[in-house]
Amino acid sequence: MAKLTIDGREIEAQDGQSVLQAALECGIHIPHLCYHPALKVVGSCRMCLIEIEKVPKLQVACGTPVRDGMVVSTQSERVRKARRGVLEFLSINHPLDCPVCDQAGECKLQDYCFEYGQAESRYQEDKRRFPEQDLGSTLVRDMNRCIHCTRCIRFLRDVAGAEAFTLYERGNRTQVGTYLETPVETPFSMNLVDACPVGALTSKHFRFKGRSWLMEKTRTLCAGCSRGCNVYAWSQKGRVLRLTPAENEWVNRFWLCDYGRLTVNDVNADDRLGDALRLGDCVDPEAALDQAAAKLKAYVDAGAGDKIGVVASARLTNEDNYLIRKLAREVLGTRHLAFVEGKEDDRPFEPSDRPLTEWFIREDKMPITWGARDIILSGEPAGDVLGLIAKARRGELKALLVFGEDLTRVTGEDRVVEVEFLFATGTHKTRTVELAHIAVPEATYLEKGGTFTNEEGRVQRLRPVVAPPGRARSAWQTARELAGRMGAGWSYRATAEVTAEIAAKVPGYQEVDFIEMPEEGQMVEHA
Amino acid sequence: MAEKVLTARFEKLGSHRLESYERDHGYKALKQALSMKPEEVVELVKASGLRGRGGAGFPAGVKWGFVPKESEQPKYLCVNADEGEPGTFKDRYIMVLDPHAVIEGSIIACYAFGAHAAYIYVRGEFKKPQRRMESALLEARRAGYLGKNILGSGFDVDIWVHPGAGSYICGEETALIESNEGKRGMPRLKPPFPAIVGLFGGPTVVNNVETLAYVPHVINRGPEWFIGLGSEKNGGTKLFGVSGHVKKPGLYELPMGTPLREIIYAVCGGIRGDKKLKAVIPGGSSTPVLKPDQIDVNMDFDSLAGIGSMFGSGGIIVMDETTCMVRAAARLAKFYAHESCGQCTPCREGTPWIAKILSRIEGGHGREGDLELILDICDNIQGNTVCPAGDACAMPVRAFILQFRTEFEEHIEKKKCPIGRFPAPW
Ligand SMILES: Cc1cc2nc3c(=O)[nH]c(=O)nc-3n(C[C@H](O)[C@H](O)[C@H](O)COP(=O)(O)O)c2cc1C
Ligand code: SF4
Ligand code: SF4
Repeated sequence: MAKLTIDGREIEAQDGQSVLQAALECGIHIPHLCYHPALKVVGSCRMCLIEIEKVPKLQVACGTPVRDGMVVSTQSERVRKARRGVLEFLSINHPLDCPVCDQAGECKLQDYCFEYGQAESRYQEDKRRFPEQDLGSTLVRDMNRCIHCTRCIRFLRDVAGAEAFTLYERGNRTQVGTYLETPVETPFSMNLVDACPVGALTSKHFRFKGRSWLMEKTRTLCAGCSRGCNVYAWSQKGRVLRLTPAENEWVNRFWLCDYGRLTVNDVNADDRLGDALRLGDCVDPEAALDQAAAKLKAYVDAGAGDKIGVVASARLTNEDNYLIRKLAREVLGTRHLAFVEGKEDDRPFEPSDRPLTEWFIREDKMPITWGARDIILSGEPAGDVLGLIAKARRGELKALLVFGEDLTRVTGEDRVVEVEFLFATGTHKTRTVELAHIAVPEATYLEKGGTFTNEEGRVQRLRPVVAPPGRARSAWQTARELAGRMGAGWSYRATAEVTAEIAAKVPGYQEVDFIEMPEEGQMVEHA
Repeated sequence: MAEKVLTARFEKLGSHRLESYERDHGYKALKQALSMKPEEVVELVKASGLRGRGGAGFPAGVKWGFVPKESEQPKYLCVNADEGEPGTFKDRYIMVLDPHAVIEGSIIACYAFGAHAAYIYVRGEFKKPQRRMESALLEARRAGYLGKNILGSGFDVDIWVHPGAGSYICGEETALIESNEGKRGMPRLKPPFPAIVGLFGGPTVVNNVETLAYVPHVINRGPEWFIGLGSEKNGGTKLFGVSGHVKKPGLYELPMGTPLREIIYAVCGGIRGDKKLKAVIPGGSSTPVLKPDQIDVNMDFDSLAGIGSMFGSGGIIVMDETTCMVRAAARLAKFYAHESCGQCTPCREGTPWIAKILSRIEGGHGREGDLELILDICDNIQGNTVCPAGDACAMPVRAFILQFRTEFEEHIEKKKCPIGRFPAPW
């Protein structure tokens, strides 16, 4: 423990911490550019210069360990002058093209220039121009905006384990990029866009799509794999434009893989399902649900409830799966419940691309394989999906309810299965949806609330970012509608009510609290 | 003439060969050092006050004393033979004409602070010094001065030459360490200091060639003798490389504290063509320039610091009245801008800015306010960079402007050089 004074305020810091870390933890912001909490400290941008009593020269806060009794000023005239100087140096060769820069509004250089810089330029010489360099399919490099902080290089080297980026040339001709213009095609390249504090590295995917201050930013989860990375979903006019990582020390730290980021393309795809379908033709969703419920009720009334198969999915939320299970067990009275789970052998990248640290995409590409096991099985054995389909093919099942899955992807065939009645929900116009007798639209993970349980048993909150297309809703709502129409008298109005029931009923989930859930999630015990 | 120490053997035929060195009592100091405790060697060098000859003048014994005794990582010595500072030419002669002195000094240093390996980082362009050092190392290894259990003392040590990769900044000690590790030569952020975490993560001492070449003499003849050559805090002799407009430019070994006037007029025979002296850079291009009325200064670390300049590396650059000060400053700034490693903001962006303004003034396009602007840029660079290379540009540029302000102002007002020099082609 060290006690030090920063700008007249006494703070406590752990030994070995830098002044910058200690200050940031206490909410004192010392401007900095090259410092990143996950990367090696290089102290090269010189933004975080501070004055320390009895030390003749200004020192960088990021590279100065705290000492007991240290008296630090971050706002003295000397510090302000040096900081103004650094900002001026960073601006003289900068193209000052903020109006057309993707980073505008979330650019540290822009923010600091606004706060500490001077309005008029004293620079009257020629500006430096760098040649263009194409970095491949995900990144755009504009070296003229680069502030040489080397965060990109350090991210690739220290976190992703790729020596792709390097510095070449020296002095103010120094460039950051790849040798001989080799494209950067790692599965994590888009993290460079976040690592870069300015607009020198921008995303080909997001470029020119939106201005940061016009977008709304919602903290939620990525559904790309079983890790459950925390993300910010940035939306404008009802459309999600990009996903960026949200910090979670226990799950993804500061990172998000490219695969996860691009799942937003699926949400924005043209073939989203917004209407209910009957044998491929649009119908009114309420009428469609009426018909489906009537059909199902007829089976139940005839004592054939057990001849109905129900397929849930590890792609849905815990709440979805919980009510699907409840519908199957309590309303339909069937034992034939299965769920589609992620495959473990689904390699996201070549072994040679494997990152140094374990913060990236998992082999299981479904968000809640573990959660589905906890909730659907609840300790009971359930048949697997292929087994269920085989039963249907043998004529042992009359009807099949498929939630959120395209069964042709499971069977690998173009047809699903011939049953008397096939009901499906779907986010997209899949083969299953087209072939279903009745299909209703389903919301994706960016359009609904709920919880995910990731592979390590961490329950985290999913938040609705945009409205689903047309009449789409969550699977739990569809289940509720069917149950209601069959006379079950369920009263769930909000996701939280379902979560509360999960907490009450599912073993290991008793602590889960939807409303009070901390940012880093809550751990549950797998049954 | 005063006593010659480092250059005493320079003119002997075959001075670089082991037999010649041994004939002149070579490796006697090593034998004596090995008979002492390592701490005693450190204390002896401390007592002599031997100050680093690479530029900063830090006492060598004190530096060795910073190295922790116990270390899990191996310790290293790096011999700084990069000699890149414009105006400096001394280490190359020591390496070519008396390489065994460097080797003996290095072995003693290794023994004193407990290193078993040393690297001589020789500037990339210095092919002959590299070869000389290599063959001298071979001789020393064959004779049992290097290797396992040297001279039966139980102490193991070996030394290798590491050719530099061609950059001025690799002379800065932490950039040298990076480059010696095979990386891009970029200075490291301190702390940690090399004495704690240096080469390959181990505690490391970086010493200049001349510093180490002096060590055997200090061991042989003792601290009193060393101090007696110069003064209490500035003992010994020093190699001065005098270049520029003197009649007899060259390398001279003179006692520390010799007055600059004596060096220029007595030793080097005065100004070429008996012209008037205009300016002197006393210790390599990064040291602040002096005017003729300042040359009565004694050439040692403290006296030069006392008049606001620096002793530096002993490279004296003499300029006569035909020299354009704007051009000299512009050329110098261009050098530092070109050699900046590009890592930290003030040096990367500030030094080329200064260079551009200065060459604009020289070209007759100066503007009012340019000088204030340059001085303010110097302020914003100095002391705010990762390594002292930023200061190495800011300090001399500021000195040129402050010392020769009227000449700069005339350039700006008349839009040409008052002494009739045409702008440089670069
Ligand atoms: C930019 C820069 C360049 C330097 N170049 C050299 C050099 O070429 N040779 C040298 O001996 N020291 C050079 N130094 C000084 C070294 O950093 C270091 O202080 C010196 O090698 C220590 O040796 P000494 O204590 O024996 O003088 C340079 C320093 C700076 C900041
Ligand atoms: S590209 Fe961005 S992250 Fe990389 S050095 Fe430049 S400013 Fe920093
Ligand atoms: S001062 Fe110059 S040479 Fe030294 S680290 Fe900074 S940019 Fe590199």
